[in-house]
Amino acid sequence: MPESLWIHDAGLWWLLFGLICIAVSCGLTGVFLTLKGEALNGDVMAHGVLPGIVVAFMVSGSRDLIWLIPGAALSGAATLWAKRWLVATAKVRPDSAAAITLSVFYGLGIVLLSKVRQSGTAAQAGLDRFLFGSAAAMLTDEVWIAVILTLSVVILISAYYKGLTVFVFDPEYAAVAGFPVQRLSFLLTFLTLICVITGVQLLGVVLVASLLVAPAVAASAWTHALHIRLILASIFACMAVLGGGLISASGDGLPTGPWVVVILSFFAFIGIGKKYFVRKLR
Amino acid sequence: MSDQLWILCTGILVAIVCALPGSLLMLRRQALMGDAIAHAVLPGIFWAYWVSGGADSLIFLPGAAISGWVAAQAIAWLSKDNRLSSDASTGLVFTFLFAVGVILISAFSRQTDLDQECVLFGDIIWVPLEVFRTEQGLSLGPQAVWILCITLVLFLAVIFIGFKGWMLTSFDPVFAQIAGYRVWLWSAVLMAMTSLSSVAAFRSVGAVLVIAFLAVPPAIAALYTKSLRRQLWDSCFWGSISTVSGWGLALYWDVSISGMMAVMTGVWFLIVWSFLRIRRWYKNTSYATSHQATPTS
Repeated sequence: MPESLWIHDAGLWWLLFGLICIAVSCGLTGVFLTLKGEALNGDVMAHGVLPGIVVAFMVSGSRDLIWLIPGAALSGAATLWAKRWLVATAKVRPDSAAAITLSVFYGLGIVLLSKVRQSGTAAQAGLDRFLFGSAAAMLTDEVWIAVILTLSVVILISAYYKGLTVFVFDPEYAAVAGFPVQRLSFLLTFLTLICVITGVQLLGVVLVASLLVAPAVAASAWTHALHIRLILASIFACMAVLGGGLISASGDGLPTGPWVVVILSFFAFIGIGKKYFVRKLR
Repeated sequence: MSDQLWILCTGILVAIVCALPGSLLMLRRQALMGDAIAHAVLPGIFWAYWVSGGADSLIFLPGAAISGWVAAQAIAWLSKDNRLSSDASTGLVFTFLFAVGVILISAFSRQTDLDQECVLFGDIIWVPLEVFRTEQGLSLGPQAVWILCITLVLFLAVIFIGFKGWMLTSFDPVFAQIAGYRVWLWSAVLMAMTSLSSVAAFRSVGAVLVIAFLAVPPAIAALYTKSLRRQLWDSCFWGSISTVSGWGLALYWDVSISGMMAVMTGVWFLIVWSFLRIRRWYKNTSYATSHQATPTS
């Protein structure tokens, strides 16, 4: 075999490492988020990052993640803030508020995107990957960003591991026991935001919620121990992301996001089926 | 009729067709079910286009609507029987069905004249070009308008005939159950209506923006209405106002029409909310000044 064998391609390995990092951070955060029952906050923020990404592109004129990430973070946070405002001030029910903010911010993103498309700059093609995701479009520099963000997620989770655990299972007890509930709640939101931002380039704004929910659901079928659940969820997420990336790389024009989601759902459905039959047989 | 007027007409029909089930969903605290169904009908839509070749999707509306209903049942089953939290089961089911739909559409995009962009924001500008024709080649108007009109008539009939049932099962399901209404049947019909509206609106606004039309106009009406009748009428009104203003601004700024319509629903929400807030503040202050306690010696 010649030197160009894919195993020797350092760039490819580096890219795979980036994918694994994104999967691990989403898998870990998703477990806490699903236990807290706020998984759809991730979905709301994911739709909400679209206008921020496009505005950041319009302002900076480049599609480097280093520019797009602050925009995405700001508008994702703004979306969640808008949802909370609707619930607290406008007295809208939480589910309605989620649907309202999610769809209006997404609409705004589509409007801005259509404006960018008209100007027809060459770089705008890179924005389309945030709609359905593309693993192959990740650049070497961008892997660095994914690695750093994942490291910060892992560090934050391990620093607040005990507090987060108590908080997601029983917020009231956590408050009584003297855990900083406000800070923990903010931390969980912050972690979700980081995961959404890193995951969105891989799965796209509509589907990134799946990378938070499905690994956690799949892992919850096999164990009750939280630390094992965290490890399992990360493994499931990694397998799905790598599998989806492989499938989309094998055919031309196939989007990465949907394939990752199909594999993830496969894991989750196996888990649900296992739980269901165990209960029936008992 | 010119193309732009057909587009406007389609937009208004989409708004009304979505506002009716959207209102009922909101009253039952199931707004997110609308969100999930709108995503989940995608495989059904693909199937309909695949079978009909994209030419005549009218007959396959029921088929696509069933896929949304199945999704709703799956979510309910997962969250009830399998002790999954409701948002986890919603997140699981709709992302899966949406992903399957996108994969099918991208794999067979040549055969079905559907593409990924249509999923994300529809192509309302092409609506006037796809017309029904008689055998003599006479144009009968765009297909989307026909489909939306038929859906609208169906919805009006269902809501009008079962008005009392809708009121009871939406506001007080426990009492409705005792009074002999089969609550599960009403909610199954509502799920079918929601999927039908997402399917009918799909061509014009795609599978994601339709959530704006399902969720926001009913929420605007709910800011001030107290009766179901007002709720239904006013949400149709605000939906139509949003589409007209969105259409106008989209043409003025030369941006995506369906996206602008969705944004305008949010803008009108803010306008109505601030108007109500200012009016309440004004009433309170005028009340306070006219009823000021006058000191008596």
